[in-house]
Amino acid sequence: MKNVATILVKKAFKKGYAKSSLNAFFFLTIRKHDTYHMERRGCMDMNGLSTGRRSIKNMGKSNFAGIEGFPSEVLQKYKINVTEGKKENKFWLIKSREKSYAAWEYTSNIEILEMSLKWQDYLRQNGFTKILPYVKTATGENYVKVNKKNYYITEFIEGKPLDFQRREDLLELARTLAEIYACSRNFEYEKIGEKEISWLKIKQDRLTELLFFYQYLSDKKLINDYERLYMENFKTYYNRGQEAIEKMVMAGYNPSNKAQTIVLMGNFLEENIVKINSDLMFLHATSCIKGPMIMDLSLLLCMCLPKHKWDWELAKDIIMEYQKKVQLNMNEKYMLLAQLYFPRRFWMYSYRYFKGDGELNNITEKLKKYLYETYWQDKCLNKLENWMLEEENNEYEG
Amino acid sequence: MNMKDENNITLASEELNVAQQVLEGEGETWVILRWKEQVSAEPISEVLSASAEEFNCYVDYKSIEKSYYRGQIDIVVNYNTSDLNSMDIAAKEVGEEEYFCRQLFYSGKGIETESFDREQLLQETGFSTLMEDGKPSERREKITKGDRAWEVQSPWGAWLWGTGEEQEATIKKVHVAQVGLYSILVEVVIKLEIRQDVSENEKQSIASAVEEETIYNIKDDSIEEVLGMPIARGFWSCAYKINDKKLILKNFKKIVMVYVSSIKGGERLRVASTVKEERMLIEEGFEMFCPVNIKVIKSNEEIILMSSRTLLHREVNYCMLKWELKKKQ
Repeated sequence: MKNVATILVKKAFKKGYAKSSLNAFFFLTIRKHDTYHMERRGCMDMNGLSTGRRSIKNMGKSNFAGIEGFPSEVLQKYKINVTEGKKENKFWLIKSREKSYAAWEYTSNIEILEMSLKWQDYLRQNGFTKILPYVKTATGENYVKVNKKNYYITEFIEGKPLDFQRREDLLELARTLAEIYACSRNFEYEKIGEKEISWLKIKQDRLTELLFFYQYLSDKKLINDYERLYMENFKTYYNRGQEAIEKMVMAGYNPSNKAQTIVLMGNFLEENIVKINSDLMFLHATSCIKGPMIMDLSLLLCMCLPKHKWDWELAKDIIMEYQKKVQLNMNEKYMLLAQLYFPRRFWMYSYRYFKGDGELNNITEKLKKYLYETYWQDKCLNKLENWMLEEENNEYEG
Repeated sequence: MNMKDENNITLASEELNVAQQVLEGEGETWVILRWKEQVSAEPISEVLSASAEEFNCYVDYKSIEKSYYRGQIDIVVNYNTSDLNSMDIAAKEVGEEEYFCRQLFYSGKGIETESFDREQLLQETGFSTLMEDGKPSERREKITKGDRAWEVQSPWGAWLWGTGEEQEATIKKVHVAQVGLYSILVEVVIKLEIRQDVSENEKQSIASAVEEETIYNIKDDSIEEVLGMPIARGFWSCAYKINDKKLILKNFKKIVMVYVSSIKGGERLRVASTVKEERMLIEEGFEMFCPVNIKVIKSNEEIILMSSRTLLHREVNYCMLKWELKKKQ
């Protein structure tokens, strides 16, 4: 083993690998080499689990315990010859000799998971392949339930993570988003999830909570800067929220109109999207919820524009890129503005403050930055609104 | 005749009145003026100075037992603002925040205050503050449009109870604090006072001299400095102990503490108070009728801050009585 390693190290230096990547390379090589011998000796089963002797993954431990934190019962249900596995940030990375997989724990509503997996099937049937496919179990199930928790496995490909600072990445994401909508707009999900979600009501409820919080504090001595900032700015943001709701109504939003509601991707975290050459690939798509299709685009804009000081040119370019595939009508544009106007994060910080979730200084600092951000957001949204109106007038005149 | 009264009393914080809060006591009145306003469209970075452009006071009405004071005050606060264009607005994790916000927005269970322990979140401010002792110096230069300055002008008025030599009204403290990104709070405390020395004539009518020594506590704040303790008495009632030939005087007494809170941020010129029942036993006070006038003058007042929540208050109270029918010699 020592000789093999020495030769590999020397070769690696000749090829000019950095020292850090060399360490990882060296480690993986030894692991693969050792696993190979263990397989030949017949001490691993089909799922890569040890049948008695110690696996190289668990050297130093007396008993084999599978991948750290991941239930071995789940792996046993899949036809995957596991050679190694480790915990990543949000998933467990599992490798067989042929492929890599990501194993995910799902803790939310199971109906949403079922809807999401069926939606992914539908997208794939319609030619959209930018979500890594999930893997069925040996018995054809989509996910596995162990100890009241649900697990599912998707294929995994290494790639460069998406960068919200890069304009090209954002435009590509807008194109991908439009493709998703184009491929899934006719997806029927009536039988999945009985409850209709009224975003109008949710927004009104959240505003009521803000009002409740304001009233709670109004007859008390304010005891920290968070409360001072909240009380100083409450009226502005409450009115802003009301304005957003009005805009939603003006846009003709009707929750009972199923034509307006689709399944939304709902997750544009940089870590969930990788770039493979020029294409984007979603690692998973189980954060989805139902809502007006414009909500995905608004979420994307809300996630990326603060990093660009709400650059209105960028916002316009993203929307135009989206419109190359899916043309927005006036109502949808109004709906988009309504989503962008709504002070969601103002609500979230107060929610976290009242729940005691997070460190006070941190929440205060974030609220402060959000208040600064509004200055830029207002500038951007005013220009966007004018541009949308102009565009509409031009179409009308044309 | 001397009596020593030792107590340990808890004072409760009073609600803050915006615009004007008047605290009347015997021979002294405290006026706290407050202004809070959104003064800037850009975020305030620092409060630089506060100056009194004008402060005047005159007696508008006077009777035997009280006077009404009127005045005008004009304070100018200078501040600096930050340039939004040069500020970094986006936290690194802003994208994640928006994502979690969407999730929480949909699934949030609502805000409940029942399990919320707010007292744990008490924290000193990170915004700038300014505390001036006495009347801050007047500005020499005139304010011009576009200056980062906020001017507050207000008339004020208050009753001062008691008789004696009237003292000049004085500004005791001026407190300026940034209370948000765009807002400033100004607090001014003014003291009106009458010197109530016991004259030689009045010494004849002193019925009792009570030396009081009381420990006061405050639970929900922390004291940096006690400015004054005006005391108001009312609801007098008299009774006689016929066998001992003693007069029993009963009344309610409101004790107010005007103090500077040591917790920076927001209102710092604060008020705490309590009401207690007072009982005085006047020996040789047996008469046919009850006294028509009762006057209590405090003397040798001493306030010692023992800790940030406890103080010792010492004073001697002279109680003077007047009967309608002259007391037999």
